[in-house]
Amino acid sequence: MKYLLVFTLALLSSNAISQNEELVNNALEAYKQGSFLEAKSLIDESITFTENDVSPKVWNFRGHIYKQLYKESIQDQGASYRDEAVTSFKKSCELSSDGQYYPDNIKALEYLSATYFNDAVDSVLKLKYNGGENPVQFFQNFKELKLWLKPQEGVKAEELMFLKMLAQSYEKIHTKHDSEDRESILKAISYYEQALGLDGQDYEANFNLAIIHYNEGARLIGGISYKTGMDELISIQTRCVEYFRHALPFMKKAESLRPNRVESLKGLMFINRALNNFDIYLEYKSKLDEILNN
Amino acid sequence: MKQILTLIATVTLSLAAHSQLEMNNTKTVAVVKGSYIYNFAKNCQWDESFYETGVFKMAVYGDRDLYNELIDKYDNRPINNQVVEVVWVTDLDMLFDEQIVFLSEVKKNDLTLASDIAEENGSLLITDFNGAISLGSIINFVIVENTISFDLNLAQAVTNDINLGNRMNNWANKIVEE
Repeated sequence: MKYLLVFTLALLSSNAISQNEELVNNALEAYKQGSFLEAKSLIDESITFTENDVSPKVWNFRGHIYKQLYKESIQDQGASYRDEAVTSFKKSCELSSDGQYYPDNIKALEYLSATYFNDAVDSVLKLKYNGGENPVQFFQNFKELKLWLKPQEGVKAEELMFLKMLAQSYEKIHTKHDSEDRESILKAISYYEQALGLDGQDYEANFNLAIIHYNEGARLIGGISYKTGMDELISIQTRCVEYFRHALPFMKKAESLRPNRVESLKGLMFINRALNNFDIYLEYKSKLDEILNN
Repeated sequence: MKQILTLIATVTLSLAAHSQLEMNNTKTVAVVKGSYIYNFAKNCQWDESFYETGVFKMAVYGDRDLYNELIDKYDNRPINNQVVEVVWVTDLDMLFDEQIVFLSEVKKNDLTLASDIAEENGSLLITDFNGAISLGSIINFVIVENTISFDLNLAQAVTNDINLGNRMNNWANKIVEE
């Protein structure tokens, strides 16, 4: 509301009220009364006038109107209001030669950036089989805005965590909906690979990617039953070995990043056993036994 | 409120990103060997005397994982007009009328004796260690490019009165004729 006082004083300092200014004044009145949709219509009409279109004050006000609409909206409806608020505050910053509205614009943009981030995390948590909102788009919006606000800080840490969280959610969906859901597991693999593209030294991404590949092979083998004929058995084995071979370098990397960790030693033991590398399997088994017995 | 919300989201993200997946604990080697053994049973033919009962016996000596796998997936399953019965052997003296005997690497010192017993009983002796195929085993599991395959000793199969069938030759990694 402090912002409203500054804005009102700025308007009162003008003597002659032109049509474009009247529209802004009316929008302000509507805003004060909480009629944000009416304020929106008036402010949108006002920026068709050149004087308003180049005014940092008007764009700042427009940003606040859309921000309020976003806050009052429910779910999907709010997304476009928020995007429009961001556009308005950014434009106000670009036009603000004297910097009067700059701090307020930045504060509002930081708030909106946080809402993108929260929505990204929330939608990952709510991901469903064949459904849910697109967390990537929310994160992309957060990333763009954060980089615009604080380019020197970057978003690598948040992006890495987000990609790993996304990968894990898809892996869970795959596990829950069993083997037929190829799309989810491919997404999980892809997001872990993207995480490793950001930081190849990340332990969890290496470890979990190894586990996904290993589990894919183990799941295929686990599907072998008394109905499995010899030709099918040979084919399954060939496919499984590919998965196990994919898993091995990631688990080795995980072990090198955090040496002698029980989980990764166990992983290397299982993968080498599945690849029928028995000597190496026994080496890891002995190392693991030693650690567990101490 | 904004800061609290962001903190909650960050903590949630951090917790999820740092959690680790669970490994599937399937005993991969035992599953593959078990399937091979059941398929050997379906594709080979034994002396007529073995078909006088309704039971197809498989004995496992020295590999508990394989025994558990066979019990879990194949015990009581049909093979032609018989049903599978899987038995765990702690001593070779227990062997009598099994169509299949599996002897694992940990019991490799018993190979010669096991081979003599299998020959006398007309059993299909299966092993999983180097050199076994030339020391009386009929089928020996081998590793070829990280997969489990098998070598066949045709001469020993004939000696034990077992017809391995043409298809087995096609699936085998190597065939020993002498």
